[in-house]
Amino acid sequence: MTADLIIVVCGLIFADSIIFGSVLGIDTALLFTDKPRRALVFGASVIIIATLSDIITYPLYNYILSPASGAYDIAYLRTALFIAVSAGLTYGISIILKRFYTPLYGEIKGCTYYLYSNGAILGILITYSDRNIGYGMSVLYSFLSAVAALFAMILFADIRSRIASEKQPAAFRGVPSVLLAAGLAAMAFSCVILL
Amino acid sequence: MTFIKSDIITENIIKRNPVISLLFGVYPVVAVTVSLRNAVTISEIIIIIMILTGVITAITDRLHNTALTVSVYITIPALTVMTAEAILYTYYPESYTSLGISLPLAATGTVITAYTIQKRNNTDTKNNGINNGIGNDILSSLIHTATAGVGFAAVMIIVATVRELFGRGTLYDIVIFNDYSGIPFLLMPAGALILLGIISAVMQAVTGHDFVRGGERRQ
Repeated sequence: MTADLIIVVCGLIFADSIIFGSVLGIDTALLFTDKPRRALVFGASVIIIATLSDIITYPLYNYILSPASGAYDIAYLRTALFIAVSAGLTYGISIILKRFYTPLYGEIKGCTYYLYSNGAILGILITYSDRNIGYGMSVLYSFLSAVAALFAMILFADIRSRIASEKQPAAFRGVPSVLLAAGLAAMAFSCVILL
Repeated sequence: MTFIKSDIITENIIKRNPVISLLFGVYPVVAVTVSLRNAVTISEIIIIIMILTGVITAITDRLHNTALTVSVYITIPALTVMTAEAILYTYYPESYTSLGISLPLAATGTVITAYTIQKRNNTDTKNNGINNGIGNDILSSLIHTATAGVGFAAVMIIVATVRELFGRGTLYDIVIFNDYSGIPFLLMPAGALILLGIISAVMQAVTGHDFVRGGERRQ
């Protein structure tokens, strides 16, 4: 059981990484990895929203929306439902933080717009809603995928801070070097699949 | 009309292109551009979402109700993608199947967030000041989002052309190079990111414009 769990966790961190493997979350990962602290705050937010969203959306999709449920055949509402739930949670949590934990709200304030409809969160919800792996496993996989995303983001934030401190040719300074570094990181993550 | 400048087209398409100079909307460019047909489809969907969301949030901004603006920003992309899914599923099932998860994820692109809802944060340097001066003017929002959408689509089409032509030897699913084994690396996400990096570096060298985001340290 423990060995299986280790294999699953390694698979989610490297082979199925939503940042550099399936690249579902690379959009926001590139924006929020300019500083390690921003990467940590954004990654932690993704873990909370993705896990809570999956707790709500998995039963709604599999027992009501999906044709396999036998209740209704309204699976086309899936995208809207997932975005609405994750955005509603983000909004609710940001309101609670604003009222009761102002310093923490100050940390996530800059990224709330990018959390309302986020590729990494929606990608996780869609991926595990389709896999028929059971409610508990779906929530666990969503949590682990988001943790893997946090790991990849912190790793890449460190790479970016090292690149920024090095002297680079004028043409590659800034965004080009970030994209090339992301390409090399994606290549490194793909090599783990081959191993 | 507060924002419209004569150089807005070159600004949003070349000098401050959403993808290669500001890093917005990288996911669709990496995930979808193995096929030019899919790249064109997703570009169309994202341009429509950007224009609709930009214009409607400009209207709701005038009511100074953040919750309403956020609701609109969430609802419009989701509804547009649902409509696109229904159209593609009914009339173009092959495109629907080959786009897969990239189709619903079109609603969550950072390029949509950056150019629509962040209008109010005019002084937010983290957003690179791309919406500075737009406010809630409807025509300015329309032109701003449309030109940014065209800039995004231009990168999508260039990357898709290179990846499909040299990766598979086809263009828009038409065979160009017979008996061509292709370059599999170009069809991988890593290949797309490195190609984007090279395009960004070439554009930076040609335009002489610094593609350095707000958080990046200048040397």
